[in-house]
Amino acid sequence: MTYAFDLQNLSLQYPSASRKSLDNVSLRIPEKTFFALLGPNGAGKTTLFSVLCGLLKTQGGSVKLFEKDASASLLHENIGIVPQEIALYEQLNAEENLFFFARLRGLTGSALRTTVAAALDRMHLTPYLDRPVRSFSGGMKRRLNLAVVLLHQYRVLLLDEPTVGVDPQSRQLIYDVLKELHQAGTTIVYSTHYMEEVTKLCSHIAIMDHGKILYDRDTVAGQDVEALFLSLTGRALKDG
Amino acid sequence: MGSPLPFLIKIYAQTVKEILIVLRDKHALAVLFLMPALFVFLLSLALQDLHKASLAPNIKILLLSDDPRSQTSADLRTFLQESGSITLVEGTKDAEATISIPRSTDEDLNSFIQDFTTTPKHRMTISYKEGTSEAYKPIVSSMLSTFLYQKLLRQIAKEMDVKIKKDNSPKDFIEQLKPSTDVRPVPNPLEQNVPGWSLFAMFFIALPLAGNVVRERSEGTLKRILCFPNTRLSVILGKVIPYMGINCIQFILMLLVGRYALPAVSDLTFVPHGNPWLLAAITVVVGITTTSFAIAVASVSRSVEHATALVGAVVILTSVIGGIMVPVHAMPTIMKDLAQYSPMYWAHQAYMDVMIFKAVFSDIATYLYKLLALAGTCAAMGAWRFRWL
Repeated sequence: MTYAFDLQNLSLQYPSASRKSLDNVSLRIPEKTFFALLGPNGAGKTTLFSVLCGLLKTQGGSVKLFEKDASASLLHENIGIVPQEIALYEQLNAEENLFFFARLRGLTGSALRTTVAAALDRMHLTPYLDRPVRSFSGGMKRRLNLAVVLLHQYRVLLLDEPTVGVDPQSRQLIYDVLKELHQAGTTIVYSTHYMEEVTKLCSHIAIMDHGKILYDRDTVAGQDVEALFLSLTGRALKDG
Repeated sequence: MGSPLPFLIKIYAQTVKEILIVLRDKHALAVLFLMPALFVFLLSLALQDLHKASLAPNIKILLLSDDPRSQTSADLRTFLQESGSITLVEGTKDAEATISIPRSTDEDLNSFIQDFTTTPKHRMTISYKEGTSEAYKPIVSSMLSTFLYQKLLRQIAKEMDVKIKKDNSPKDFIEQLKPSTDVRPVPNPLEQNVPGWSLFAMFFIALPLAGNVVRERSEGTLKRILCFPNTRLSVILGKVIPYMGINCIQFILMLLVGRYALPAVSDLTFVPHGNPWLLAAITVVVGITTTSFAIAVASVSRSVEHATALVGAVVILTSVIGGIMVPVHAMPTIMKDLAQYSPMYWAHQAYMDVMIFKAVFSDIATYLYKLLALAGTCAAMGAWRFRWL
């Protein structure tokens, strides 16, 4: 089996933190899977995503991407991220946002225009392409946030809570697009707090808390994910 | 070595993005373009009378005498004509000041010489036309006093039978030294304000630049940009280059306002001299300094509000110290000494030296080196403290 990611003994502690954000994390994410990465707030999911896309360096351990040491250029070429934040420019319109990110990918001329038009069309945003993002609804912003990763054929997508605050119609569209990408061979690593999304979309599941992987299985079907999640991470509120 | 094209496309992408963001930010546009143009316009108009008065007063005075044969009146007329600062006019319409000499003046002066305790029956009066520059009033009053002292001195000498040369006067006790070559003429308000307020606005570029960097960091776009095949250097250059371009546009725009707009509505003229390449070099160096300053501010700011307060405080303070708001030549000595430490002063002097005094590179090199040293310090601070996530 080929692994999209093969993580061994990752450790990371922020300078001002009292405990590790990643504590000896080892995890294998098989290629072409729809992989759920779950955990309560502050579990270390976003930190792990930052490591996986090369934004943070760990203090120990190794990251392999498709069996190669994960260099910055390898990660940039193969990993697309949809961050938890609406990482878009509110002053620009939808098309200008996508033009910007597409140019950062090196696209120009007709390839640029075709790719951007296709991404807007796929996310049903073509009628609003010249509207500033600040005037978009939450659902439209989330769809545009996802459209950015449609500008390039990534082998792995990292999605950090991509459906927060999204209406059912937009959420359904996001699911459809992700399923299509998965069927086309993209490995998807999906972080969410909505457990029904896990059973609906994911084939693999890992649960982490306090920077550690608590659970890692290759089956989701038939499981009560919420009960499993609460049994592993506890019922105490995670406000700290 | 790979093709530079992908690198240039990324710089272009960021340039387009930054320019669009600035163009859609009405507050930034007002601060960067409208505010300095208004400052130049209004302050130059406000200061033009003061400038005229301080440099070459040419006050129009009407002399009215109740007695056409009055000796005092005739002497005063001669005195004022010889002063070089006065134009005697015949009608009230043109007069900025009117000096009225009562019929009793000759007699009053004679009585005073005989007995210093006597008071005049009627006093001479000075009246000013409404709107006359306040700067003119002490000049007219002082000239009249000087005339009276001179006249009294001559009368007393005559009474005491002291020989006095016809053209002798207290002025003979003063030797007027020629100005040294280092002393430069005071720039007119436009020559002072055009480069001054241009610089004020150019330094304010740090406001949108630092604010955008902080916003990108908090909104996650900076993180997203770093997930693209990008070096951190290209990300920084992608921010610095468009704002340096905006700095150049600001300066050109302000030159045009000074050159054409203000002279059309005032007596002021502004004809920038000097080597245009030197002006371009100063503008580029200022651009490097302002953008490096912005990156340094972004590196230590936790929020847009924090960055805004920091930029505002630093820019306003350095402009006050550096002679943008109050010209350095009008400052007391201690403030003049303090001005030497303001980057705004270095850049302002460099611009004025080239535009007004036709300086060559060696004349302004020290100012440029100081600005580049400041830019290097800011860049080093940015590299040390910059938080990407």
